[in-house]
Amino acid sequence: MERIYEIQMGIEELARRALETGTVGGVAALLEVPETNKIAFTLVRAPEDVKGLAPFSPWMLENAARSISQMTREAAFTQPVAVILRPCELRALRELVKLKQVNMTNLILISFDCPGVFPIGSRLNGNGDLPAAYEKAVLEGTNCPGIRQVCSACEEFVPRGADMVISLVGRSPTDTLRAAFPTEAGQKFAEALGLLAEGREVEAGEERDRLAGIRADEHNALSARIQGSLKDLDGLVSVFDRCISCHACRYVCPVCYCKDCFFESPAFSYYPHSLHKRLEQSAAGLRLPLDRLLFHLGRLTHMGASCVACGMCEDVCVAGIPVSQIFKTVGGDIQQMFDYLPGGSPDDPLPLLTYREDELKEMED
Amino acid sequence: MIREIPRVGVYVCHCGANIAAKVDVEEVARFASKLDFVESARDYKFMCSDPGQQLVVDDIREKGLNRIVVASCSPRMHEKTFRKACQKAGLNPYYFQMACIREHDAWVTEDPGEATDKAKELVQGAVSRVLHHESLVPRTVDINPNVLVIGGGIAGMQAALTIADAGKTVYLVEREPCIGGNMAKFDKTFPTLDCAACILTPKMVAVGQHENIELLTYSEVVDVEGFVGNFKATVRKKPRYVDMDKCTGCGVCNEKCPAKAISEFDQGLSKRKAIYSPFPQAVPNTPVIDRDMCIYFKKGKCRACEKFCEADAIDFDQQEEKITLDVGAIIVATGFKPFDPSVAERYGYGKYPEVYTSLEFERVNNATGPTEGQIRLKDGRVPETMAIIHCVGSRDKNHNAYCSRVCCMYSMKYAHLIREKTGANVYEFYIDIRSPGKGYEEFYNRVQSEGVQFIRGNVAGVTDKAIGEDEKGKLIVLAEDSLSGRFLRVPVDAVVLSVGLEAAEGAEAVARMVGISQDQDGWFNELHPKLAPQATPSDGIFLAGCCQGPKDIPDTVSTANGAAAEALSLIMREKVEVEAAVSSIDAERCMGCRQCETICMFDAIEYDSALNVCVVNEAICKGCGLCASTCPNKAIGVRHFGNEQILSEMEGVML
Amino acid sequence: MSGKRKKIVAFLCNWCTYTAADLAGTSRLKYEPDIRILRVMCSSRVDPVFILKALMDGADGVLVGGCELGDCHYQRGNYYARRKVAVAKKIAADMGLDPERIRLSWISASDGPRFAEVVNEFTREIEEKGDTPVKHEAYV
Repeated sequence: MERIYEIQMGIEELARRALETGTVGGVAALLEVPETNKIAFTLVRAPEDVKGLAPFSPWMLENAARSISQMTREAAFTQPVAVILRPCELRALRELVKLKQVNMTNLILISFDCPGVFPIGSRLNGNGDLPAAYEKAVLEGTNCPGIRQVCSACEEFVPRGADMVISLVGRSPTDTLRAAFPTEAGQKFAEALGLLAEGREVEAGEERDRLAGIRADEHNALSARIQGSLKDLDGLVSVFDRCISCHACRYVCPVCYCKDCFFESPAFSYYPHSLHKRLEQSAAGLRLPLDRLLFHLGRLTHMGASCVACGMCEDVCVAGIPVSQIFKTVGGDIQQMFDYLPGGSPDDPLPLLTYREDELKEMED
Repeated sequence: MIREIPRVGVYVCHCGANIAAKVDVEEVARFASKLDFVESARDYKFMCSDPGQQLVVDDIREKGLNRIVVASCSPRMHEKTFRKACQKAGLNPYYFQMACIREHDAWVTEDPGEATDKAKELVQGAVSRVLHHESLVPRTVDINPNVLVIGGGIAGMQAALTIADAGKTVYLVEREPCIGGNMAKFDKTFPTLDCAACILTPKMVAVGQHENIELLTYSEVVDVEGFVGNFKATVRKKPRYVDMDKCTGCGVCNEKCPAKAISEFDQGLSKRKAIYSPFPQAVPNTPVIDRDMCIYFKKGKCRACEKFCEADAIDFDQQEEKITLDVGAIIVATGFKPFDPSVAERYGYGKYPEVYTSLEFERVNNATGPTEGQIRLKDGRVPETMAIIHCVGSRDKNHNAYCSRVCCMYSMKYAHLIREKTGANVYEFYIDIRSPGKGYEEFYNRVQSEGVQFIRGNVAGVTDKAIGEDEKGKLIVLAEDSLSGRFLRVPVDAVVLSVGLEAAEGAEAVARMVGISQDQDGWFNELHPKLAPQATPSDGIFLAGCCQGPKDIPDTVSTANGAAAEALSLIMREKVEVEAAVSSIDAERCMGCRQCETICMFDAIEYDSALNVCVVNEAICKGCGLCASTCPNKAIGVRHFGNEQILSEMEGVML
Repeated sequence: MSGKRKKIVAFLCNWCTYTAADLAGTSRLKYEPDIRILRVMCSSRVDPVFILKALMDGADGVLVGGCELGDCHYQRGNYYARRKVAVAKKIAADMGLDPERIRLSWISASDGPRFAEVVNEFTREIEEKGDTPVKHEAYV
């Protein structure tokens, strides 16, 4: 059982102290200025800039793993940086480690049990009553209405592999922090800030378990819904026919790390003569542009095994295709087939880079 | 990406009537001529003939063709032929694509209309693919002039001698303590009845003394890496516990050793010592200590051999050693093992002491064998009647369906020897007599005239359950004489089982190591059963002797020389062209994720940390394409098997 | 082209299944003509995308053929191929395509009869399923 400490400070104070003591040279987290509606994942370096640090604010503008990847892919941080991530962001980050797109040197990973985030579109009309409802749901350990569909069905909401795990579910925003430090780096971080000496050990609440139960039910319901909508070709076409081939889903996907997407390469371009010939041969005509649906199937072959179901893709889909619900369902099946959890154990090789001699007998003859 | 306007020439081959009898080749050519970018399409009787190839050459020159499609046989057959024709005309050979309308169509399709339709689609696929071909330059690498021969039986020895005589260095690796293999166990050889030792011993000595042969006995090849011209073989040298440099082969150690063990060489019919040479003429004549049987190794004292060895050659501290050999070609000559008849209970092998396998009987006949060459029953009596049963384990669906080729002949050799040495009556139970070979049928006639009784019939069993008085104390062979239809009970004193040949123990591991395949019976597959019988699909790996299927000694020696000639022909070239169709990485696209590096089965991909990209070592890459299908970025392409090429061919065959 | 025939695309590895197909030919074994053979050097070259693209382009069936496990010319390529095909099948199954239209067979170079048998069997199965629905949808 992990040991949870009650710490007599909030997250801003924690960040400030980490910077002031020189324990870290930077803190990366969501920063929000509600008055001006500014919000961004931000790397702050000065103690005075931590004002507005809002890692628990229920928004995800980009899966932070992408940002961390961008910052560390070519060169690691030269001094410790604390990054505060949601569990799915952390899993994406750990998946990107296997894909050599992140350098974890000098990163102190802080995460928390995640109640979920709202779709970005919900911000359009101001945040309204959302914060109040959200706070209530977090306190009770329930799903707040209106959060991303994949969030409400997320069973991986407790972070894996973080150096510091903050308990959020069951707490109110005005409460002081409760956190565990499961790793050696986490212990050191806590000691350097004097958190363990000041803190007192507390018991975990039941809200997390309650939420886990709700999430499991939601997950089942979501899978059934998606499977029902994609039970045949007709379903597939109906769901994806409104895709405008903008490929925004792949641009925001934290594990789609390619510079140039294969599906935008010449291998998928058609020459006029072959288009005409296809038209001649096809009984029912051509849906244009071609390979609109194949893009999604193909993308699944590339990242299905690594999908952390963060929900970014669905958020940005202008056509309202339930992309992340689909990818969570299909990706989850692929992951289950290979007994693999993306961002889980660093020792598990990526499923397509390994094999077992005695597996998948049903796939072959 | 298509970078120039393609001008495709399509040639539809009749292959005599092989294709034309089923496929309407003119119609296919007509169809092809209407395809986009096709400049000219024609059909021709034999495209692979000189005039056929000349058509391609002339058209390239005269019509300015820059892409060629030949629809004929399998590319495994003639791709190289037509690539050469393209090259002759100044066109890069990789601007060629073959559509296989013979093996994959004309020969396998019932209906001519459907065969013609299929041919059209295959041609369309090839045309569509060839548009995306790229000009490639085959690379050349230096060839290491040394040759490794695996197996020191007659095949391996012969191959080694032929190569060594040409002045090239050969490493001959044999896992037993000495060379000679199965042949060294034989007595006489059919049909000439030369004594095996008389013809083999000089060869063994020649191998042992040849300045170009490095003999590694009691050693096994445990790993092979690299590629044609540049193999790296790891050899495990088992400890002999006798210093080969010091040992004089005097044999005193053998005399003094108090520990006895079963002689494998004599097929268990005699005993040997714990320190031993398998047979007196063994090459090398340095004995080995059988660690499992040695009293010193078991109990910590004895060392009798050491005490008596004047050369001070015994070394109980010898350790296993691993050495690496750099070679350009490898000849696999791992031979055979005899079929074990104890799995076929009806013959009574293992149950009745007077039932022998053929190899046991070779030892009985051999002057250095357990009976010093005399044919005697276990109680010392001279047999009065003997039976020889053919096809034990061969031509038998329960065991091996194939014919082992040599059993009829050696069986008749036994019949002759038995008649000659004992005057006993001999019954040969056979299914068919197979005696194709120089002097073989004559030998059959000779043995018949010597009074040997041939009974055509499958043997149902061997029993000692006597019915009549004349069967008492005998073994009774139960068989149906299929010529007269009578059921026979033939009482005999001893039975020889003419067991068939099977792939040697460990053949599978060897196949895996050198990257060749086995057929369903375990024999190694050659590149082509008729036209490339010594080569294998793995460049630089050749086969000699029985490892590819049962053979008699003359054929074994021929194939060994064939393999040697192929290996020589390869290493004398000094340079070898290696496949241009290997992977390459587009550094612009590469994200340095290193999935390809992780997955590559040949360690052909390295990571360049300065540029944060992966790089293919083209000399090592074998072009399997695993990296290409793994790279999500598609920064890796396999040349000639790129995504566009494969997908456009797919599009073509489906339109 | 005769309409009743199906479109079955086969990706066969050069060393085993493609050779088995050659052998089926030289042995004059007769089999159903619906199959269109494409050569790849190793079954592991077959990108799951190829399989899914074939299905989306209107193939009634996709056959991937490789060496028997343990006999891969490139040592272990077919083990990786199996995972790749498994991914394609799983995606097909979950996305409303019929995974049974994808088949993975290990056929050794010497097994011409097995090749003919697999082709006939697979063709029969595909015929029983009928045309791929993709054919009647506009090309997707």
